[in-house]
Amino acid sequence: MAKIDAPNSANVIEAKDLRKIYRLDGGLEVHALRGLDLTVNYGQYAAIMGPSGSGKSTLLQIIGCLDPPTSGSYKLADQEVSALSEDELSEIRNRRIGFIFQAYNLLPRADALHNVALPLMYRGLSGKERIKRAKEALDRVGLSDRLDHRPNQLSGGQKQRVAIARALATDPDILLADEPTGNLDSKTGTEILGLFQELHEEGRTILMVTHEKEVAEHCKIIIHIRDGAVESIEEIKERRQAAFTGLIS
Amino acid sequence: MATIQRKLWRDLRRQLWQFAAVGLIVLLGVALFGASYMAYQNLNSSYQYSYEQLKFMDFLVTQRQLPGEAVQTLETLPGVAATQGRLQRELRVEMPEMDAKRAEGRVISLPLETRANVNDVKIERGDYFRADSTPQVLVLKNFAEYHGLEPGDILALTIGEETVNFRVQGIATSPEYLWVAKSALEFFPSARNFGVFFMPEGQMAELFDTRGSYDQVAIRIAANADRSEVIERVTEVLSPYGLPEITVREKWPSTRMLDMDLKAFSQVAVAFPLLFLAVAAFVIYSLLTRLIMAQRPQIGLMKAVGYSQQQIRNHYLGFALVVGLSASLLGSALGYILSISATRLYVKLLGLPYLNTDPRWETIFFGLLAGLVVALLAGYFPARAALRLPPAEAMREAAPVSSGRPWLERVFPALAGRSFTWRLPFRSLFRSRWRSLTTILGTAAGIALILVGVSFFDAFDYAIEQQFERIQNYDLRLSFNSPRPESILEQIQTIDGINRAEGMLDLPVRLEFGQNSTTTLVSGLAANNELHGLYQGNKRVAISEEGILLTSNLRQVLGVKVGDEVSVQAPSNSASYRVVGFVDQPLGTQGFLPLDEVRRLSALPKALSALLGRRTAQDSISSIMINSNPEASAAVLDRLYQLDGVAAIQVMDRFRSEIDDLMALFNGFIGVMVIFGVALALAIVFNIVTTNILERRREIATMRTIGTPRSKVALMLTLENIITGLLGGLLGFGLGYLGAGFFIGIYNSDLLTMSTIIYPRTFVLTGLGLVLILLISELPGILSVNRMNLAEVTKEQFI
Repeated sequence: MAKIDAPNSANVIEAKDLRKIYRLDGGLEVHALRGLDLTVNYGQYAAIMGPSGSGKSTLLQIIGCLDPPTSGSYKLADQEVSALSEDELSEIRNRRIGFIFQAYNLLPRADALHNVALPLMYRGLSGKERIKRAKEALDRVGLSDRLDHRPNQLSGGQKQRVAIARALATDPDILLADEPTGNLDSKTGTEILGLFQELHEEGRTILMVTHEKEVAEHCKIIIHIRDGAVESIEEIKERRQAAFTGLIS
Repeated sequence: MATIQRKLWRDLRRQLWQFAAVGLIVLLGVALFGASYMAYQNLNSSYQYSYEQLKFMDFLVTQRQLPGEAVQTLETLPGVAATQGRLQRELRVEMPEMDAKRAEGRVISLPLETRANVNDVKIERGDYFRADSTPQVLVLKNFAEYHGLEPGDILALTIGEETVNFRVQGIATSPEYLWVAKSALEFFPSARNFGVFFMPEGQMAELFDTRGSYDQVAIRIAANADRSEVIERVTEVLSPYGLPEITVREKWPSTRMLDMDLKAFSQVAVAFPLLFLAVAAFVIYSLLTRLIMAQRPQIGLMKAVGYSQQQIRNHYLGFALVVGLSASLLGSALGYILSISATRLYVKLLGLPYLNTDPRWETIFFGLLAGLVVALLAGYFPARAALRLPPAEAMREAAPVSSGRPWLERVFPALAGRSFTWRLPFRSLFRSRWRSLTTILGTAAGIALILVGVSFFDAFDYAIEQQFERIQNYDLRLSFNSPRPESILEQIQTIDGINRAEGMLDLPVRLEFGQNSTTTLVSGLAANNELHGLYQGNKRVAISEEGILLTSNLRQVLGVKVGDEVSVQAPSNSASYRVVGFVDQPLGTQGFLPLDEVRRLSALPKALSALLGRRTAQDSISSIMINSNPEASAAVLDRLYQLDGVAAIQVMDRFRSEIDDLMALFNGFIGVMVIFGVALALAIVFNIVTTNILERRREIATMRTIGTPRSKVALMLTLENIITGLLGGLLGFGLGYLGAGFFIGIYNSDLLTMSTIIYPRTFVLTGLGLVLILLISELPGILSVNRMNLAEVTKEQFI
């Protein structure tokens, strides 16, 4: 099992010369990443953008420890993870990363509280402690009155907030959001972006994949990917304002 | 190809293994039906064809010293197609290679120069009689094969005091002895101890000094004649010579035995495959229902883009059609091939003269239709349910069932304290009730099918064990040609190696109660009888002076209960007895009375007794049960055969192993059923478990993404499968026990009464087998979720 230490460096992600080759039937090779270099600092709020086939999904999979690179080095919070086993990667995902999906991916038969408590199961915490942390996370996203609601009893925005609470509950090094507003209407989407902004202001590191420029402009930087490599990094000077109306504080 | 058709093939390809498993279930059901029912039809027609070719009688008239002229007169009666007068005598066969050195023989006459008009034989090896003066015989195939007799060999038969050497002219099969039964009461004579021989009529008349008279006439009636009218005419013609004994074809021991066997075979051949098809219907129904539940969004979309109700219904029925049709076609072909092998095996074991394996198109068609109808019916209801969904609702995810804290955790608080890995499987059980229910019912059906098959082995084993270990406490049974005085027991007791000997008197009788009657044997046992145990369940009961004890299978045959009076008609006397109880006895039907009572029933009128020179003494016995030291058996047998009037000595160990041999085919058939049952259980469990896992791909992918290790996911799935599997197993044990009772009930007959017994070891082995099947079944599903692309699956909008 990978030893997970407290990070020393200021970089949460350090990717060097990442390459990913998919070998298809018939011997065809697809080079999804072609020597990509990327560094993301702690506290960064970044968006990854790129056209279809640019490699942004592949990059997110590798950053999220869902798929190893074919070659290259990838350090997450100072730890080289490119050659870890699947079980070691599971632990890394559980401790270091908070995932936020476009389709929320909540367990349909568990209520909000237990959905949020789910990733804490593998932390060796007592049941009480898990519930306490899950409640705090739900409180943080403004859903303390929806603890016992199941996903089908929640609106899209509320589901995504539960998903964010689940990601926050483990206190990860980085939040990875894949098109987090893709399933939401613009008003709810703006609320969710407002929440991200608050989390960023609290010091969270957020990396978001999106194909919408307006969404990406809420971040501090936009990493443009093309043909499997970083094409440019755009600093957003004038950030769009987003309001998170659901926050009770 | 239309888009919707492409979707059908794509979905079929995507869930290929699951649909293949459902197809396998239909295939097995159709194949089993085809194999067993066509084997039954083949056997039936092989029997009928043999009867036709060998001119099997419609009835047999037995009357001693019947003049040849009387037989000629019978031939001229209206409705009589052919007659064959013949002699039939019992004699002793000298077998130098046997330890007892002799067997019982039955010799029947046949015409020398022509073939018999009725009850001809088929020469399997060698030739029919040769027109010369050398004593010659034809030997029935089963005896010849057991003793290795070949045409040209010499066989010594003892007629009266004289032993004559005969040339074995040929080896024959006879329609009268397709099943070699010695009499209506002795269905299981051993080929070791009992043989049937055919002799030229003239030679036999000379040897037995019959002076032109016959013992029997075998009669075939004309095609459209009424048998009972013909029998009446025959009886009338023969009335001057006394009352003839008439045995109609279906009461002839061989025919009766084969009919009974065929009847049970035909019932099992239909009922068991039906069970398979019912299970297949359930599995198709459950798989399609789940497929449709999972495809709600697609159904909504199809509706939204304008597919008609009929197109959508036909699309989902298409799954059932493709699976049902391909499985039924393959099943029919497999069934046909298996039916030929099964018939050949059966024919070989029984030594039938002719084999008929024509394709039974109607059965093949019916099997095909049954497989298809079952699949379509099972698919119809889920397909119809898909239509009821309004498009907007269909495109939303189904709301899960509501549940608070699972009651299981309230009932067992200890469970609530367990880790999530342990609790989740229990929770899933209640949170996905339909999934749990189909898993439990599917597993139960699979287990029940295996148990029903295996229960036959246990029930048969138990029946034989009971018969030979508990009821018959003797290892030899000696029977005399005619009753002997009881004093012979003292002589027998002095033989070294004999521990105990008890006499009994057997009497063939007709039992009557109301409209019901049956031919059976009544045995007289001494009050201090120890060697023939009479049991009611675990309780040993004694012979009663108050009335008659009957074997429990006679309860149904006669429709009697304790306290009823049954009429017992012996050849020379009759009497009524109160039924005092029923005793368990697997082999045969029988009544038990005190020895003296049977002596009284068997007593001949004094004048007749004097005429025939037979004993009617008050101390006669017809057979002796002997318990001896196994080491001394050969010497004991030698001594016993030297006693006067010994007809046969049955060695129980050999009898038991011969019954086992006779059951080889039955065991083979049951073995195939068990193999099919295991395959079916595997197909069901595989299908359900795979669906259970794949249905939750996204859920599992999410759990894995947020850090649940693969091993934990596998453990949770395994636990859930084992829990539902074991619940299904428990239910399956209950259903299997009930099913076993039903099928054993169908199979039971006058000859063999089995109780519904399933040994604990069978339950344990089946349970372990189930766990193994569960583990094998979940392997592909778990490997598939381990291999899945987490990023892709977590992005899926709908499963």
